Amino acid sequence: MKKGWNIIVQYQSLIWIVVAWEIIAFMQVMPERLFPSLGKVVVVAIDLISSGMLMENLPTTLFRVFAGFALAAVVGVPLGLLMSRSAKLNDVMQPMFSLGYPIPRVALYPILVFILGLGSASKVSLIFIECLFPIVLNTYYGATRVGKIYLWAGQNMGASSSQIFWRILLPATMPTIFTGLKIALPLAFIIAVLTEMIGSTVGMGYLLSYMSASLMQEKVLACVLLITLVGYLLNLLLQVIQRKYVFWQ
Amino acid sequence: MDKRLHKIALIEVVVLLVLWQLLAMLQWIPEYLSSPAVIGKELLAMVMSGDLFSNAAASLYRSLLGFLLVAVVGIVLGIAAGYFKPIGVFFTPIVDVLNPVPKIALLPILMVWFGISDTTRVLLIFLTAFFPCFIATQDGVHGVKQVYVWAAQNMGASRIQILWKIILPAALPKIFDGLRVSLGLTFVMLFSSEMIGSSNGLGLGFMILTADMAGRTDLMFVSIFVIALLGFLFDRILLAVRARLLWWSENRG
Repeated sequence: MKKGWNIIVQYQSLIWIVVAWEIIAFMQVMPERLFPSLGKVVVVAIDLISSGMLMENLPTTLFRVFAGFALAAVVGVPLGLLMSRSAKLNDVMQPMFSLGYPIPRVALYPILVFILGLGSASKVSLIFIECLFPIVLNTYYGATRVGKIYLWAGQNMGASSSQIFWRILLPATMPTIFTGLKIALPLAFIIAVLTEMIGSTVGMGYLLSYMSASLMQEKVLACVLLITLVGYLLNLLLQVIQRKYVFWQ
Repeated sequence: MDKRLHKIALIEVVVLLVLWQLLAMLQWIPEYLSSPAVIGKELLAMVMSGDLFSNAAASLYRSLLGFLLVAVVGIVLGIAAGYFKPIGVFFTPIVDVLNPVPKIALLPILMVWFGISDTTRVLLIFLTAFFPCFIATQDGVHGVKQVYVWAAQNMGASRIQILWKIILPAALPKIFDGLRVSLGLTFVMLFSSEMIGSSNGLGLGFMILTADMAGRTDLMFVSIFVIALLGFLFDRILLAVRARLLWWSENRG
Protein backbone atom coordinates (compact mmCIF):
# COMPACT_ATOMS: atom_id res chain seq x y z
CA MET A 1 0.00 0.00 0.00
CA LYS A 2 2.76 2.36 1.06
CA LYS A 3 4.75 1.48 -2.04
CA GLY A 4 1.85 2.15 -4.39
CA TRP A 5 1.31 5.51 -2.74
CA ASN A 6 4.99 6.37 -3.19
CA ILE A 7 4.78 5.66 -6.91
CA ILE A 8 1.74 7.91 -7.17
CA VAL A 9 3.57 10.69 -5.34
CA GLN A 10 6.61 10.22 -7.54
CA TYR A 11 4.63 10.48 -10.75
CA GLN A 12 2.12 13.01 -9.46
CA SER A 13 3.12 15.64 -12.01
CA LEU A 14 2.04 13.41 -14.89
CA ILE A 15 -1.20 12.60 -13.10
CA TRP A 16 -1.89 16.30 -12.53
CA ILE A 17 -1.30 17.02 -16.21
CA VAL A 18 -3.69 14.26 -17.27
CA VAL A 19 -6.31 15.43 -14.78
CA ALA A 20 -5.98 19.07 -15.86
CA TRP A 21 -6.20 18.02 -19.51
CA GLU A 22 -9.34 15.98 -18.91
CA ILE A 23 -10.97 18.81 -16.96
CA ILE A 24 -10.28 21.28 -19.77
CA ALA A 25 -11.58 18.78 -22.30
CA PHE A 26 -14.65 17.99 -20.19
CA MET A 27 -15.53 21.64 -19.56
CA GLN A 28 -15.19 22.28 -23.26
CA VAL A 29 -13.12 25.40 -22.74
CA MET A 30 -12.06 24.84 -26.32
CA PRO A 31 -14.22 23.09 -28.89
CA GLU A 32 -13.89 19.32 -28.68
CA ARG A 33 -12.49 19.15 -32.18
CA LEU A 34 -9.54 21.23 -31.01
CA PHE A 35 -9.08 19.74 -27.56
CA PRO A 36 -10.15 16.11 -27.41
CA SER A 37 -10.03 14.08 -24.22
CA LEU A 38 -7.03 11.84 -23.79
CA GLY A 39 -9.22 8.75 -23.67
CA LYS A 40 -10.32 9.46 -27.19
CA VAL A 41 -6.73 10.05 -28.29
CA VAL A 42 -5.69 6.65 -26.96
CA VAL A 43 -8.60 4.99 -28.75
CA VAL A 44 -7.58 6.61 -32.03
CA ALA A 45 -3.95 5.63 -31.43
CA ILE A 46 -4.93 1.99 -30.94
CA ASP A 47 -7.05 2.26 -34.05
CA LEU A 48 -4.00 3.54 -35.98
CA ILE A 49 -2.05 0.51 -34.84
CA SER A 50 -4.73 -2.08 -35.56
CA SER A 51 -5.68 -0.61 -38.94
CA GLY A 52 -2.11 -1.11 -40.11
CA MET A 53 -1.46 2.61 -40.64
CA LEU A 54 1.40 2.45 -38.17
CA MET A 55 2.96 -0.59 -39.76
CA GLU A 56 2.86 1.06 -43.16
CA ASN A 57 4.85 4.04 -41.96
CA LEU A 58 6.95 3.02 -38.99
CA PRO A 59 9.37 0.62 -40.78
CA THR A 60 10.38 3.28 -43.31
CA THR A 61 11.11 5.80 -40.57
CA LEU A 62 13.03 3.26 -38.52
CA PHE A 63 15.01 2.21 -41.57
CA ARG A 64 16.03 5.83 -42.20
CA VAL A 65 16.89 6.38 -38.55
CA PHE A 66 19.04 3.28 -38.27
CA ALA A 67 20.67 3.62 -41.69
CA GLY A 68 21.79 7.18 -40.98
CA PHE A 69 22.70 6.41 -37.38
CA ALA A 70 24.66 3.26 -38.26
CA LEU A 71 26.56 5.03 -41.03
CA ALA A 72 27.46 7.85 -38.67
CA ALA A 73 28.60 5.38 -36.01
CA VAL A 74 30.65 3.31 -38.47
CA VAL A 75 32.37 6.41 -39.83
CA GLY A 76 32.36 8.55 -36.71
CA VAL A 77 33.83 6.23 -34.08
CA PRO A 78 36.95 5.26 -36.08
CA LEU A 79 37.36 8.87 -37.20
CA GLY A 80 37.21 10.14 -33.63
CA LEU A 81 39.68 7.50 -32.47
CA LEU A 82 42.06 8.23 -35.34
CA MET A 83 41.85 11.97 -34.65
CA SER A 84 42.95 11.34 -31.10
CA ARG A 85 45.95 9.28 -32.29
CA SER A 86 47.17 11.38 -35.19
CA ALA A 87 47.92 15.06 -34.71
CA LYS A 88 47.95 15.64 -38.47
CA LEU A 89 44.48 14.23 -39.03
CA ASN A 90 43.25 16.16 -36.03
CA ASP A 91 44.62 19.41 -37.49
CA VAL A 92 42.69 18.80 -40.67
CA MET A 93 39.40 17.61 -39.16
CA GLN A 94 39.13 19.59 -35.93
CA PRO A 95 38.49 22.98 -37.60
CA MET A 96 35.73 21.46 -39.75
CA PHE A 97 33.96 20.08 -36.72
CA SER A 98 34.41 23.26 -34.68
CA LEU A 99 33.11 25.38 -37.55
CA GLY A 100 30.26 23.01 -38.37
CA TYR A 101 29.16 22.39 -34.81
CA PRO A 102 27.17 25.57 -34.14
CA ILE A 103 25.69 25.69 -37.64
CA PRO A 104 22.10 24.47 -37.99
CA ARG A 105 22.90 21.70 -40.44
CA VAL A 106 19.25 20.86 -41.13
CA ALA A 107 19.20 23.97 -43.30
CA LEU A 108 21.16 21.90 -45.84
CA TYR A 109 18.15 19.64 -46.31
CA PRO A 110 16.57 21.53 -49.24
CA ILE A 111 19.86 21.31 -51.10
CA LEU A 112 20.17 17.60 -50.34
CA VAL A 113 16.68 17.15 -51.75
CA PHE A 114 17.81 18.85 -54.94
CA ILE A 115 20.78 16.49 -55.26
CA LEU A 116 19.32 13.22 -53.95
CA GLY A 117 15.60 13.61 -54.40
CA LEU A 118 12.76 13.36 -51.90
CA GLY A 119 13.29 9.67 -51.13
CA SER A 120 15.25 8.02 -48.36
CA ALA A 121 18.67 9.04 -49.70
CA SER A 122 18.40 12.73 -48.78
CA LYS A 123 16.93 11.92 -45.37
CA VAL A 124 19.53 9.29 -44.51
CA SER A 125 22.30 11.68 -45.58
CA LEU A 126 21.01 14.45 -43.35
CA ILE A 127 20.65 12.05 -40.42
CA PHE A 128 24.21 10.89 -41.10
CA ILE A 129 25.55 14.45 -41.06
CA GLU A 130 23.66 15.36 -37.89
CA CYS A 131 24.70 12.22 -36.02
CA LEU A 132 28.32 12.45 -37.10
CA PHE A 133 29.00 15.51 -34.95
CA PRO A 134 28.12 14.20 -31.48
CA ILE A 135 29.64 10.78 -32.24
CA VAL A 136 32.99 12.08 -33.53
CA LEU A 137 33.36 14.79 -30.89
CA ASN A 138 32.50 12.52 -27.96
CA THR A 139 34.72 9.71 -29.24
CA TYR A 140 37.57 12.15 -29.76
CA TYR A 141 37.33 13.75 -26.32
CA GLY A 142 36.89 10.37 -24.68
CA ALA A 143 39.93 8.94 -26.42
CA THR A 144 42.14 11.92 -25.58
CA ARG A 145 41.23 11.54 -21.93
CA VAL A 146 42.22 7.88 -21.62
CA GLY A 147 44.65 7.71 -18.72
CA LYS A 148 48.22 7.82 -20.04
CA ILE A 149 49.18 5.35 -17.32
CA TYR A 150 47.06 2.61 -18.90
CA LEU A 151 48.73 3.13 -22.26
CA TRP A 152 52.17 3.22 -20.68
CA ALA A 153 51.44 0.08 -18.69
CA GLY A 154 50.37 -1.68 -21.88
CA GLN A 155 53.49 -0.57 -23.74
CA ASN A 156 55.66 -1.54 -20.82
CA MET A 157 54.30 -5.05 -20.87
CA GLY A 158 55.07 -5.32 -24.56
CA ALA A 159 51.62 -4.91 -26.07
CA SER A 160 51.60 -4.25 -29.81
CA SER A 161 49.91 -1.11 -31.04
CA SER A 162 46.91 -3.10 -32.27
CA GLN A 163 46.63 -4.74 -28.86
CA ILE A 164 46.81 -1.35 -27.20
CA PHE A 165 44.05 -0.15 -29.47
CA TRP A 166 41.68 -3.08 -28.99
CA ARG A 167 42.43 -3.91 -25.38
CA ILE A 168 43.01 -0.50 -23.84
CA LEU A 169 42.02 2.48 -25.96
CA LEU A 170 38.70 1.20 -27.26
CA PRO A 171 37.32 -0.18 -23.97
CA ALA A 172 38.47 2.93 -22.10
CA THR A 173 36.73 5.16 -24.63
CA MET A 174 33.55 3.06 -24.74
CA PRO A 175 31.59 5.01 -22.11
CA THR A 176 32.07 8.34 -23.91
CA ILE A 177 31.37 6.72 -27.27
CA PHE A 178 28.04 5.68 -25.80
CA THR A 179 27.44 9.23 -24.58
CA GLY A 180 27.79 10.33 -28.20
CA LEU A 181 25.52 7.56 -29.47
CA LYS A 182 22.96 8.45 -26.83
CA ILE A 183 22.88 12.03 -28.09
CA ALA A 184 22.84 10.92 -31.73
CA LEU A 185 19.99 8.40 -31.73
CA PRO A 186 17.19 10.76 -30.57
CA LEU A 187 18.64 13.31 -32.97
CA ALA A 188 18.34 10.79 -35.81
CA PHE A 189 14.70 10.18 -34.96
CA ILE A 190 13.94 13.91 -34.73
CA ILE A 191 15.56 14.57 -38.10
CA ALA A 192 13.70 11.64 -39.66
CA VAL A 193 10.33 12.94 -38.47
CA LEU A 194 11.20 16.52 -39.41
CA THR A 195 12.33 15.71 -42.94
CA GLU A 196 9.32 13.48 -43.46
CA MET A 197 7.09 16.36 -42.42
CA ILE A 198 8.77 18.68 -44.90
CA GLY A 199 8.30 16.31 -47.79
CA SER A 200 7.63 12.59 -48.04
CA THR A 201 5.02 10.07 -49.06
CA VAL A 202 5.65 7.56 -46.31
CA GLY A 203 6.92 7.58 -42.73
CA MET A 204 5.81 8.77 -39.30
CA GLY A 205 6.36 12.42 -40.18
CA TYR A 206 4.27 11.95 -43.29
CA LEU A 207 1.54 10.24 -41.27
CA LEU A 208 1.55 13.19 -38.91
CA SER A 209 1.20 15.84 -41.58
CA TYR A 210 -1.37 13.68 -43.38
CA MET A 211 -3.41 13.47 -40.20
CA SER A 212 -3.08 17.16 -39.48
CA ALA A 213 -4.60 17.87 -42.88
CA SER A 214 -7.74 16.14 -41.60
CA LEU A 215 -8.00 18.90 -38.97
CA MET A 216 -8.98 16.34 -36.38
CA GLN A 217 -6.88 16.99 -33.31
CA GLU A 218 -7.44 13.54 -31.82
CA LYS A 219 -5.83 11.96 -34.87
CA VAL A 220 -2.87 14.34 -34.74
CA LEU A 221 -2.47 13.81 -31.02
CA ALA A 222 -2.66 10.05 -31.47
CA CYS A 223 0.14 10.35 -34.00
CA VAL A 224 2.22 12.44 -31.61
CA LEU A 225 1.55 9.85 -28.91
CA LEU A 226 2.85 7.06 -31.15
CA ILE A 227 5.90 9.10 -32.16
CA THR A 228 6.60 9.82 -28.49
CA LEU A 229 6.34 6.13 -27.71
CA VAL A 230 8.74 5.18 -30.50
CA GLY A 231 11.22 7.86 -29.40
CA TYR A 232 11.01 6.64 -25.82
CA LEU A 233 11.53 3.01 -26.85
CA LEU A 234 14.55 3.91 -28.99
CA ASN A 235 16.07 5.61 -25.95
CA LEU A 236 15.35 2.57 -23.82
CA LEU A 237 16.93 0.26 -26.38
CA LEU A 238 20.20 2.15 -26.29
CA GLN A 239 20.19 2.14 -22.50
CA VAL A 240 19.74 -1.62 -22.42
CA ILE A 241 22.57 -2.12 -24.90
CA GLN A 242 24.81 0.17 -22.90
CA ARG A 243 24.10 -1.64 -19.66
CA LYS A 244 24.89 -4.93 -21.32
CA TYR A 245 28.12 -4.04 -23.10
CA VAL A 246 29.60 -1.23 -21.04
CA PHE A 247 28.89 -2.96 -17.77
CA TRP A 248 32.12 -1.86 -16.14
CA GLN A 249 31.06 1.77 -15.95
CA MET B 1 40.62 26.52 -30.88
CA ASP B 2 43.99 28.15 -30.84
CA LYS B 3 45.41 30.53 -33.44
CA ARG B 4 46.93 27.75 -35.54
CA LEU B 5 43.62 25.93 -35.88
CA HIS B 6 41.96 29.24 -36.79
CA LYS B 7 44.39 29.55 -39.66
CA ILE B 8 43.79 25.99 -40.82
CA ALA B 9 40.04 26.56 -40.64
CA LEU B 10 40.35 29.65 -42.80
CA ILE B 11 42.50 27.82 -45.34
CA GLU B 12 40.01 24.95 -45.47
CA VAL B 13 37.07 27.26 -46.09
CA VAL B 14 38.94 29.10 -48.84
CA VAL B 15 40.03 25.83 -50.49
CA LEU B 16 36.46 24.56 -50.39
CA LEU B 17 35.09 27.73 -51.98
CA VAL B 18 37.76 27.78 -54.68
CA LEU B 19 37.15 24.10 -55.43
CA TRP B 20 33.42 24.68 -55.65
CA GLN B 21 33.93 27.67 -57.93
CA LEU B 22 36.31 25.70 -60.17
CA LEU B 23 33.95 22.74 -60.45
CA ALA B 24 31.10 25.11 -61.30
CA MET B 25 33.17 26.91 -63.94
CA LEU B 26 34.23 23.62 -65.50
CA GLN B 27 30.57 22.56 -65.32
CA TRP B 28 31.50 19.34 -63.64
CA ILE B 29 28.71 19.77 -61.11
CA PRO B 30 25.07 20.30 -62.08
CA GLU B 31 23.99 23.87 -62.52
CA TYR B 32 21.59 23.77 -59.57
CA LEU B 33 24.58 23.59 -57.26
CA SER B 34 25.33 27.18 -58.27
CA SER B 35 28.72 28.68 -57.47
CA PRO B 36 30.19 30.87 -54.74
CA ALA B 37 30.50 33.82 -57.13
CA VAL B 38 26.82 33.72 -58.06
CA ILE B 39 25.76 33.22 -54.46
CA GLY B 40 27.99 36.09 -53.37
CA LYS B 41 26.47 38.35 -55.97
CA GLU B 42 22.95 37.45 -54.90
CA LEU B 43 23.89 37.94 -51.28
CA LEU B 44 25.24 41.38 -52.01
CA ALA B 45 22.12 42.29 -53.98
CA MET B 46 19.90 41.20 -51.10
CA VAL B 47 21.97 43.12 -48.60
CA MET B 48 21.71 46.21 -50.80
CA SER B 49 17.97 45.95 -51.25
CA GLY B 50 17.47 45.34 -47.54
CA ASP B 51 15.39 42.20 -48.16
CA LEU B 52 17.87 40.16 -46.25
CA PHE B 53 17.69 42.28 -43.12
CA SER B 54 13.92 42.24 -42.81
CA ASN B 55 13.85 38.46 -43.23
CA ALA B 56 16.78 37.87 -40.94
CA ALA B 57 15.31 40.24 -38.34
CA ALA B 58 11.98 38.39 -38.36
CA SER B 59 13.73 35.05 -37.87
CA LEU B 60 16.12 36.36 -35.26
CA TYR B 61 13.29 37.93 -33.29
CA ARG B 62 11.58 34.55 -33.01
CA SER B 63 14.65 32.53 -32.15
CA LEU B 64 16.10 35.02 -29.68
CA LEU B 65 12.75 35.52 -27.95
CA GLY B 66 12.47 31.75 -27.66
CA PHE B 67 16.02 31.49 -26.40
CA LEU B 68 15.51 34.24 -23.83
CA LEU B 69 12.41 32.49 -22.51
CA VAL B 70 14.34 29.23 -22.33
CA ALA B 71 17.24 30.86 -20.50
CA VAL B 72 15.04 32.54 -17.89
CA VAL B 73 12.51 29.75 -17.31
CA GLY B 74 15.03 26.94 -17.74
CA ILE B 75 17.59 28.34 -15.35
CA VAL B 76 15.06 29.38 -12.67
CA LEU B 77 13.19 26.07 -12.79
CA GLY B 78 16.43 24.12 -13.08
CA ILE B 79 17.89 25.73 -9.97
CA ALA B 80 14.62 25.27 -8.09
CA ALA B 81 14.47 21.61 -9.13
CA GLY B 82 18.09 21.05 -8.24
CA TYR B 83 18.02 22.84 -4.89
CA PHE B 84 14.59 21.90 -3.52
CA LYS B 85 14.23 18.15 -3.66
CA PRO B 86 10.40 17.94 -3.83
CA ILE B 87 10.38 20.23 -6.88
CA GLY B 88 13.01 18.05 -8.53
CA VAL B 89 10.99 14.92 -7.85
CA PHE B 90 7.91 16.65 -9.22
CA PHE B 91 9.57 17.53 -12.53
CA THR B 92 11.54 14.33 -13.13
CA PRO B 93 8.75 12.26 -14.75
CA ILE B 94 7.71 15.16 -17.00
CA VAL B 95 11.27 15.56 -18.24
CA ASP B 96 11.74 11.81 -18.70
CA VAL B 97 8.62 11.52 -20.83
CA LEU B 98 8.79 14.76 -22.80
CA ASN B 99 12.53 15.08 -23.41
CA PRO B 100 12.84 12.34 -26.07
CA VAL B 101 9.77 13.54 -27.99
CA PRO B 102 10.61 15.15 -31.31
CA LYS B 103 9.07 18.52 -30.46
CA ILE B 104 8.60 19.29 -34.13
CA ALA B 105 5.76 16.75 -34.05
CA LEU B 106 3.87 19.20 -31.83
CA LEU B 107 3.86 21.80 -34.60
CA PRO B 108 0.58 20.65 -36.18
CA ILE B 109 -1.12 20.71 -32.78
CA LEU B 110 0.21 24.13 -31.84
CA MET B 111 -0.76 25.38 -35.27
CA VAL B 112 -4.38 24.43 -34.68
CA TRP B 113 -4.41 25.99 -31.22
CA PHE B 114 -2.50 29.19 -31.89
CA GLY B 115 -2.68 29.54 -35.65
CA ILE B 116 0.21 29.89 -38.05
CA SER B 117 1.71 32.68 -36.03
CA ASP B 118 4.80 33.78 -34.19
CA THR B 119 3.24 32.45 -30.97
CA THR B 120 3.31 28.93 -32.41
CA ARG B 121 6.89 29.25 -33.58
CA VAL B 122 8.24 30.82 -30.41
CA LEU B 123 6.40 28.22 -28.34
CA LEU B 124 7.87 25.42 -30.43
CA ILE B 125 11.35 26.87 -30.10
CA PHE B 126 10.82 27.19 -26.37
CA LEU B 127 9.62 23.59 -25.98
CA THR B 128 12.57 22.25 -27.96
CA ALA B 129 15.30 24.25 -26.31
CA PHE B 130 13.93 24.15 -22.76
CA PHE B 131 14.95 20.62 -21.81
CA PRO B 132 18.74 20.79 -22.41
CA CYS B 133 18.91 24.01 -20.40
CA PHE B 134 16.75 22.68 -17.58
CA ILE B 135 18.57 19.35 -17.34
CA ALA B 136 22.02 20.95 -17.44
CA THR B 137 21.08 23.50 -14.77
CA GLN B 138 19.66 20.85 -12.47
CA ASP B 139 22.77 18.77 -13.04
CA GLY B 140 24.97 21.76 -12.28
CA VAL B 141 23.19 22.44 -9.00
CA HIS B 142 23.50 18.80 -7.99
CA GLY B 143 27.22 19.00 -8.72
CA VAL B 144 27.86 21.93 -6.35
CA LYS B 145 30.18 20.82 -3.58
CA GLN B 146 28.27 20.44 -0.34
CA VAL B 147 31.25 21.89 1.52
CA TYR B 148 30.60 25.31 -0.01
CA VAL B 149 27.00 25.26 1.12
CA TRP B 150 27.96 24.14 4.61
CA ALA B 151 30.60 26.85 4.82
CA ALA B 152 28.06 29.48 3.85
CA GLN B 153 25.50 28.15 6.31
CA ASN B 154 28.11 28.14 8.98
CA MET B 155 28.79 31.79 8.38
CA GLY B 156 25.10 32.55 8.67
CA ALA B 157 24.09 32.99 5.05
CA SER B 158 20.37 32.99 4.33
CA ARG B 159 18.84 30.61 1.78
CA ILE B 160 18.54 33.39 -0.77
CA GLN B 161 22.19 34.30 -0.25
CA ILE B 162 23.25 30.69 -0.64
CA LEU B 163 21.27 30.38 -3.88
CA TRP B 164 22.54 33.63 -5.31
CA LYS B 165 26.14 33.62 -4.09
CA ILE B 166 27.04 29.93 -3.97
CA ILE B 167 24.72 27.73 -6.01
CA LEU B 168 24.30 29.96 -9.07
CA PRO B 169 27.98 30.77 -9.66
CA ALA B 170 29.06 27.20 -8.93
CA ALA B 171 26.51 25.79 -11.36
CA LEU B 172 27.22 28.41 -14.03
CA PRO B 173 29.73 26.39 -16.11
CA LYS B 174 27.17 23.57 -16.51
CA ILE B 175 24.40 26.07 -17.16
CA PHE B 176 26.41 27.52 -20.04
CA ASP B 177 26.92 24.02 -21.47
CA GLY B 178 23.15 23.63 -21.51
CA LEU B 179 22.58 27.10 -22.94
CA ARG B 180 24.94 26.34 -25.80
CA VAL B 181 22.97 23.25 -26.78
CA SER B 182 19.73 25.20 -26.41
CA LEU B 183 21.00 28.02 -28.59
CA GLY B 184 21.92 25.57 -31.33
CA LEU B 185 18.46 24.04 -31.13
CA THR B 186 16.70 27.41 -31.40
CA PHE B 187 18.37 27.94 -34.76
CA VAL B 188 17.43 24.45 -35.92
CA MET B 189 13.82 25.08 -34.94
CA LEU B 190 13.87 28.54 -36.46
CA PHE B 191 14.51 26.89 -39.79
CA SER B 192 12.18 23.92 -39.24
CA SER B 193 9.18 25.86 -37.96
CA GLU B 194 9.32 28.13 -40.98
CA MET B 195 9.83 25.30 -43.46
CA ILE B 196 6.69 23.45 -42.39
CA GLY B 197 3.31 25.08 -42.48
CA SER B 198 3.09 27.17 -45.57
CA SER B 199 2.64 30.81 -44.88
CA ASN B 200 4.08 33.80 -46.58
CA GLY B 201 5.62 35.83 -43.86
CA LEU B 202 9.10 37.11 -43.37
CA GLY B 203 11.88 34.79 -42.34
CA LEU B 204 14.94 32.96 -43.56
CA GLY B 205 13.11 29.62 -43.68
CA PHE B 206 10.44 31.17 -45.88
CA MET B 207 13.14 32.55 -48.12
CA ILE B 208 14.37 28.99 -48.66
CA LEU B 209 10.83 27.77 -49.24
CA THR B 210 9.96 30.42 -51.83
CA ALA B 211 13.32 30.04 -53.54
CA ASP B 212 12.76 26.28 -53.63
CA MET B 213 9.38 26.69 -55.30
CA ALA B 214 10.89 29.02 -57.87
CA GLY B 215 13.77 26.60 -58.43
CA ARG B 216 16.28 29.30 -57.48
CA THR B 217 18.96 27.30 -55.71
CA ASP B 218 21.27 30.31 -55.62
CA LEU B 219 18.76 32.11 -53.40
CA MET B 220 18.43 28.99 -51.27
CA PHE B 221 22.17 28.96 -50.75
CA VAL B 222 22.05 32.62 -49.72
CA SER B 223 19.47 31.90 -47.01
CA ILE B 224 21.29 28.77 -45.86
CA PHE B 225 24.51 30.75 -45.68
CA VAL B 226 22.87 33.47 -43.60
CA ILE B 227 21.26 30.93 -41.23
CA ALA B 228 24.61 29.18 -40.82
CA LEU B 229 26.36 32.50 -40.26
CA LEU B 230 23.86 33.61 -37.62
CA GLY B 231 24.06 30.26 -35.85
CA PHE B 232 27.83 30.50 -35.81
CA LEU B 233 27.86 34.14 -34.73
CA PHE B 234 25.50 33.70 -31.80
CA ASP B 235 27.41 30.65 -30.64
CA ARG B 236 30.56 32.81 -30.57
CA ILE B 237 28.72 35.54 -28.65
CA LEU B 238 27.56 33.02 -26.08
CA LEU B 239 31.09 31.67 -25.72
CA ALA B 240 32.42 35.21 -25.29
CA VAL B 241 29.84 35.97 -22.58
CA ARG B 242 30.77 32.71 -20.92
CA ALA B 243 34.47 33.50 -20.96
CA ARG B 244 33.70 36.92 -19.47
CA LEU B 245 31.43 35.64 -16.71
CA LEU B 246 33.49 32.58 -15.92
CA TRP B 247 36.91 34.24 -15.83
CA TRP B 248 37.53 32.42 -12.56
CA SER B 249 36.75 28.99 -13.91
CA GLU B 250 39.17 26.60 -15.59
CA ASN B 251 36.34 25.40 -17.75
CA ARG B 252 35.92 28.52 -19.88
CA GLY B 253 35.09 26.73 -23.09
